[in-house]
Amino acid sequence: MSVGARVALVALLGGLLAALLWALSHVPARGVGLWGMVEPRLATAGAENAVTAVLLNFRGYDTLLEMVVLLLALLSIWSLHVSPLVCPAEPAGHVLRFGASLLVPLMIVVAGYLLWAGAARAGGAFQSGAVIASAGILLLLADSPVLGGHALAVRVGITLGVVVFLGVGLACLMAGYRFLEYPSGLAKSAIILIEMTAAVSIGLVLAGAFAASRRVLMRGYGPREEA
Amino acid sequence: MQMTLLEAISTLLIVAGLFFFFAGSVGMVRFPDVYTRLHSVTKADNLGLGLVVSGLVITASDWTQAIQLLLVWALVMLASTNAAYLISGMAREQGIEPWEESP
Amino acid sequence: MSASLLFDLLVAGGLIVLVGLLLSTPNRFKAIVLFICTGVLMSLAWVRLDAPDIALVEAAIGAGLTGALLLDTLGHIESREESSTTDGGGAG
Repeated sequence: MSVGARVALVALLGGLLAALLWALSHVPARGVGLWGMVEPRLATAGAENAVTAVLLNFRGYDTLLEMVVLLLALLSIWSLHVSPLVCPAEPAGHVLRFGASLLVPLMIVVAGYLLWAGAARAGGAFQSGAVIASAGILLLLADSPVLGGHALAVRVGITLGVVVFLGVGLACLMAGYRFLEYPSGLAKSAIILIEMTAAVSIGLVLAGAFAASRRVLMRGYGPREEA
Repeated sequence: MQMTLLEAISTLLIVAGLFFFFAGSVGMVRFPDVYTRLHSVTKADNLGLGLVVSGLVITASDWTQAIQLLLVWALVMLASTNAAYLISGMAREQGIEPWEESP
Repeated sequence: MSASLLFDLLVAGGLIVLVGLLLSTPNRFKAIVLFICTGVLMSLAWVRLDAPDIALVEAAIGAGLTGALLLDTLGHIESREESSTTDGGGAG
């Protein structure tokens, strides 16, 4: 880039920084936010945590689209057919395997706790799915298969979140309400059902993105060919 | 600032823990090669974390919080041990020689 | 200056310094490690902004998962670069 172009870019970014700082100085000290709109409806929303209620009830449609985007990203990564790397942790495999055998069950318990605590405190489906994905990555690094050899398990596990979410929405339609408008009294059950399947699905999708191929997700990396 | 004896002990433990964290970070920057840096990071940071966790356990609100804090310490020890072993194994395989004091 | 304001300034300053280092280093591995550090510090910033849910997700996915993905991709890139230079630049 020529010197003139660099100077122009620096000037542009400097102007943008000044504008942002000016806008920042006018932000109120305490954010007003949407708390006024959320709080009166929180009792019938099916969750006491405002974030979970907004994510899975008031703006559930956006969460559904997010999960579809994750699934599409995974399918794009898998369709590249990248040849898998050898198992990265081979020289110290046995220490890592022991550590993984201790950590992975604990991670699954923590994921379940995060899912359940999402109703009243910080937590929820995405956090729990992230912990499940980390457990999957740890298993892959420790040279162990994540899902065994069943291709059907992979397909079902990855699409389960989106399918159940859509199914709940369509069931609401068929019961006479609008799409994803939970019937009163059933909001908590609907949220729990969607969150459980979403957590499993998100975890498998993210671990599958790390594995970069369906075969590796099912059967692990396999032995190292060369020294 | 009026502090009860428990809060004073807790603050003292946390400050001691922070000192060990600082020492570990200084060691990571100043030590000569990968292996000595791993020593400094894992050992000093684990001790620092243990002291900070002890300070927090004293003023925890109930026993479930205390057990969660101790679990955090145990898990960090497990994870950092694993990571240090793997890093040093990979460094050895890549042929990085340990630093020798030049005579 | 209260203690929490000092802490916030430290976190914000640390973020800016880390991102500056991250953008100016030519070594890819160093850039990825700095990215992971930025994710961890960003998760602290989210806690200070009263958003514990986002802090959890940032720590797990932003720092952990994305860091692992980037390191994996770096391994792929470097192994392909190695094989193409030893082949004498054939089809790659």
